[in-house]
Amino acid sequence: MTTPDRIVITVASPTPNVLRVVFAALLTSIVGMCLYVLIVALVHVSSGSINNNSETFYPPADFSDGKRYVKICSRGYDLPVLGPLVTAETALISWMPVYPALQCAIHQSAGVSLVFAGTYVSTLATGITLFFGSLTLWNLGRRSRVPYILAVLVQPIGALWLYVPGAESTYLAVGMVTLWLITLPPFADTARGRLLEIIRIAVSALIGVLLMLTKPNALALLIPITFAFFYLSWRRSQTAGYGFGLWAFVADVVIEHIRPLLAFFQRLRGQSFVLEERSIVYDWAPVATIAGILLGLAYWLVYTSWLSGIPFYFLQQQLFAWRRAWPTGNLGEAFLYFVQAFRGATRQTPWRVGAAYYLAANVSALIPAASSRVPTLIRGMLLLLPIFLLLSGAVNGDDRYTISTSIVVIGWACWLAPTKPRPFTVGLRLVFMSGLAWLTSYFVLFHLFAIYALGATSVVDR
Amino acid sequence: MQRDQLNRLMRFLIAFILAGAAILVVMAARPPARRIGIYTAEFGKPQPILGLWDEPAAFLTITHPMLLSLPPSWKLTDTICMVMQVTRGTAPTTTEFTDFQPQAQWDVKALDALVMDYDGIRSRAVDGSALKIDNPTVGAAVTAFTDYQVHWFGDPPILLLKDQTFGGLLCYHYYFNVNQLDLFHLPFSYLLSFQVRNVLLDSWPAYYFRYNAPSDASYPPQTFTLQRDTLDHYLSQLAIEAPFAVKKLTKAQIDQLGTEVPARK
Repeated sequence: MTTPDRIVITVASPTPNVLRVVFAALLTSIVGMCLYVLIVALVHVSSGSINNNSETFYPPADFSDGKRYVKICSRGYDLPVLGPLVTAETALISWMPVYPALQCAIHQSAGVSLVFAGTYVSTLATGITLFFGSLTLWNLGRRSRVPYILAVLVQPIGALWLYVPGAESTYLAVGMVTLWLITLPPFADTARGRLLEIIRIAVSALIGVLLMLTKPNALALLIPITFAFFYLSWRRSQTAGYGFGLWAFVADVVIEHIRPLLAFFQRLRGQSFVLEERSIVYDWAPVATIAGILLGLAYWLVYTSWLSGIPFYFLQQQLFAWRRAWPTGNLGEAFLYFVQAFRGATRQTPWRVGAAYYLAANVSALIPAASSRVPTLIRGMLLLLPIFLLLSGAVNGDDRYTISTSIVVIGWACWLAPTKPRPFTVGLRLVFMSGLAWLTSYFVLFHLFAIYALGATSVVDR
Repeated sequence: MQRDQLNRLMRFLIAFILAGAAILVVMAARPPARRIGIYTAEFGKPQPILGLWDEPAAFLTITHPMLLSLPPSWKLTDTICMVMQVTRGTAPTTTEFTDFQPQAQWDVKALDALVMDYDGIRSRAVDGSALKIDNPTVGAAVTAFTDYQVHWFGDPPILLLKDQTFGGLLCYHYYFNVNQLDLFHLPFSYLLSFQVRNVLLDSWPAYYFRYNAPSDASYPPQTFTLQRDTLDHYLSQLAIEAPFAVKKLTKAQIDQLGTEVPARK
């Protein structure tokens, strides 16, 4: 029988097997970065034809978000020209700080021009995504040629948005680190194992802050990560002898934390207080991540409010400057919004491609949740992912946000990854996915930009 | 460390983080008021022109304000002149290509380049008179008819890079526009405020002046009471006290001007 101490030694001193996994992840990362650079080069070779101006070179930062990141790096955050209601106008505040900070760091330290620094950041982010994505798949038990599949997968799944320098790449990279930390197998229940657990939890909290500062879409992960906390704790408790279902476990966790309150009330009533002992083992890393995300949000609220002198300035920007497609929590309006996707083009109004695109993005995230090939943890998180969207109505840009969410990428990767050595079916899945991604890219680049120009993607009907 | 201790520690850690977040949210709900717009400036001391986060874009110093009587033969109205000196601060700028052409100055950081011109000079005179900068007209006359070389302020626009300072003379007057005629007027009180062109500003200095107005409490204590002087005396004084703005011409220069401008003789 293996003693706990021997397990710890195994974790601390990587065996050749662990080294092989890390090496494979590293290789995946390098392959992915090479692919990314190749796609960036291809896009820029064809940028003239995309923009109908073959005589002009369009640098990577030459798109609306890219210009703003360059401005943030060069000028810092500022506010719109002070009008009667500055919260109604978009400000640089709406673009989060991690991506421009990395651009600045590369620009200052290596002297890379700011119009190209974003490409370096996105390339690096792609590498980090693939490295930790591979390790996450390993954590989830997908251990057969998975890294190579992920390398092929992530580039096309990003379709258009990962080609360009944008915060989506850092959101995906930090999100992947988050998911890797969440899916790490539990450490041995020894003093050393618990120390490693504390380190993991502290790092999870820090990564949570960082994740929030890459994109506010990290808020959409709060509900899925809450599920991860209960699910992982439940599974760990089961190994310690807990014999009830998930819902009972959730109730037990709540009761455990209000135990002093219950005892107090019972004492007031002059009755004794006895609770049945349950073997609950917590996995604190997801909760630490949630706390980190909330801390990051609070920090950004303070920064923007103190910069502007307006209470909750960042939140007001998100709610008013970036209009919502339906009032918060109004699911009927949400339904009506998405129905627009099926309304044909008329002489007066173009096809509502925005509604169709956002609907497709969310449905595409849910497809892996329907597959038994995907681990229950990921399926549950995927199902809960769109809830924030439905509650908030913040549909703007949801296509790229959903696709650059680590849970979605891992969900698709699990759907693709072979559980048994059947190269033919894996090949078929790869062909299907790649075909879908390249077809999407083709439509977006060469057909949908023209429809975008008509304002058909606006959240408000025209 | 036992499992129970770890659980306690984690609960404390998470409560600590969430408490920190709650404190930050309370702070976000009550941000300090930003100082926006003009503030009363002091003469003779560097006054900051403040960008966002109160980061100074530039420091402005104004000295020697004076109402000047110009020689009648020039057929120009009286003018108010003062010596201005501006030093670059640190607030980042947004520079237009026409102000700063990177091809010509490729080794200079464009984001340091601060631009200041007449558009940034705003006036408020409650009697309805309007401000007019006299530098172009008075400048030509001073060059032609006096023995002084003057560094004029703001024409062409001032371009300041890191650690640079620019100093010069600014002259102006006020007028009423009645029936399409400009009538010279000297307001009994007015203020001048100064902004820079290419920085988003939080606040900027405003200088208060008065002339022929009784002293009372309605004016800020920093208000300057204008005195009248002759141009020649004023320039001779500046040649000593503000040599970066006014210099006495050399004899050779005076001789050259004498041949070029017959009216000097």
